[in-house]
Amino acid sequence: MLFNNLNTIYSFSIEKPTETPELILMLSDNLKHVLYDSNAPFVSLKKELQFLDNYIKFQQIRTEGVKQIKYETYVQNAETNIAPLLLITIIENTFKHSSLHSQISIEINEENKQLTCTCINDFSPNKTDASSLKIGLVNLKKRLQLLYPDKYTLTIDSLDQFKVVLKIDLS
Amino acid sequence: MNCIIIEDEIPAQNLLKNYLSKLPNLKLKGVFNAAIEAHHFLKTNTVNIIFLDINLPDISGLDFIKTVKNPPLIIMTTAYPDYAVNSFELDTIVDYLVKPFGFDRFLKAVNKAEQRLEVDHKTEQNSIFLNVDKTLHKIILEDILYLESDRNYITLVTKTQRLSFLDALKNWTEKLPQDYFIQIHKSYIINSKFVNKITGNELYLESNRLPIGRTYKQELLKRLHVK
Repeated sequence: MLFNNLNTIYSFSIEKPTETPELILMLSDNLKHVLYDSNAPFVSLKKELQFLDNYIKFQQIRTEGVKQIKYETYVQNAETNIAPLLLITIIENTFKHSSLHSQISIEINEENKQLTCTCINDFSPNKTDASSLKIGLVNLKKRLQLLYPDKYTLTIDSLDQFKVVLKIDLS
Repeated sequence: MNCIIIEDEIPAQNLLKNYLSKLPNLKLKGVFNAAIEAHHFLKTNTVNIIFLDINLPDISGLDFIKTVKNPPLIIMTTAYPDYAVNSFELDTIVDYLVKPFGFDRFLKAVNKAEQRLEVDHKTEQNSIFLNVDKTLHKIILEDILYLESDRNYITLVTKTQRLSFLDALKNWTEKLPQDYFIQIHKSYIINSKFVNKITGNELYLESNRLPIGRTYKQELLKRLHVK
């Protein structure tokens, strides 16, 4: 992931140098988040969303013209705390397993400390490597079980589209 | 020389296009987001080099190569260095570029591919034109199964052809690559790559049964590394 993003920046530095500084800052912010901020047990939703915004912005640039990304957030209280790097797991999955020329939809919603994150993507069943998918989601479940026992639901629906819904009570 | 790019990320495509624009000898024939799209193109077009991203959305780049008949030379690109070991097992892969890579490194890969193409071209020249009944037949030496002489004529046999012409077998002993053509009889020279079995004084070559001359047998066994 890191090297893909560096490659994007490298390409921009040759093709569109004026847009490069912003990308470097975005990547550097995200590295900071992963390496340092996420050592804390909890971070503010604001910080976590900033991280996800950057991540998705990079994905948008990388898949421009190949995939359509619908990304919506509604957050009532951005100071609400959340354990870091939980949502990225399902968001990463949705990009990784989405098929070509398809739409990806990501929705993050917080109201009264009730968080809902919904990721939907089209997928080609024969290609989707179920094992790698499972490892990510199994690890996510383990973390949720430790951090938010009885305060979360994680539903995965893979009929026509791949749909993951994570709900956490952050209060 | 010409090439195509198979890469699902637009910035990575742009970078390769930019590099390729500096090499007028290497013409870009197409850019594809997915292996399946390139597959259709390759059915009707010939290319020398493919720049192939390993992590494609439909199938992995490595799986893709395995589906292409007579694949062109391939320069892999990826952001995941750990693929390198696996991919070199396929001999159509000439080089492996880890993203991000600079123009120098890119050029090195292209040069490697160029050298390989030259070598392949030389092996392709390992063929002759044979004049039979006023028609010139192209014969790839490796494809010859055996030559049989009968009085003043030679019959040259490949999997698909039998050509008879006026000549003597001794004129051919030096014309053929001596590392795999062996004379087994005063009337036969065979391509040892097609030998199936030897029983007594008979040799089976694909579906042909040929006699082994007594004076040639020892040399034959030695050449076939029979102990």
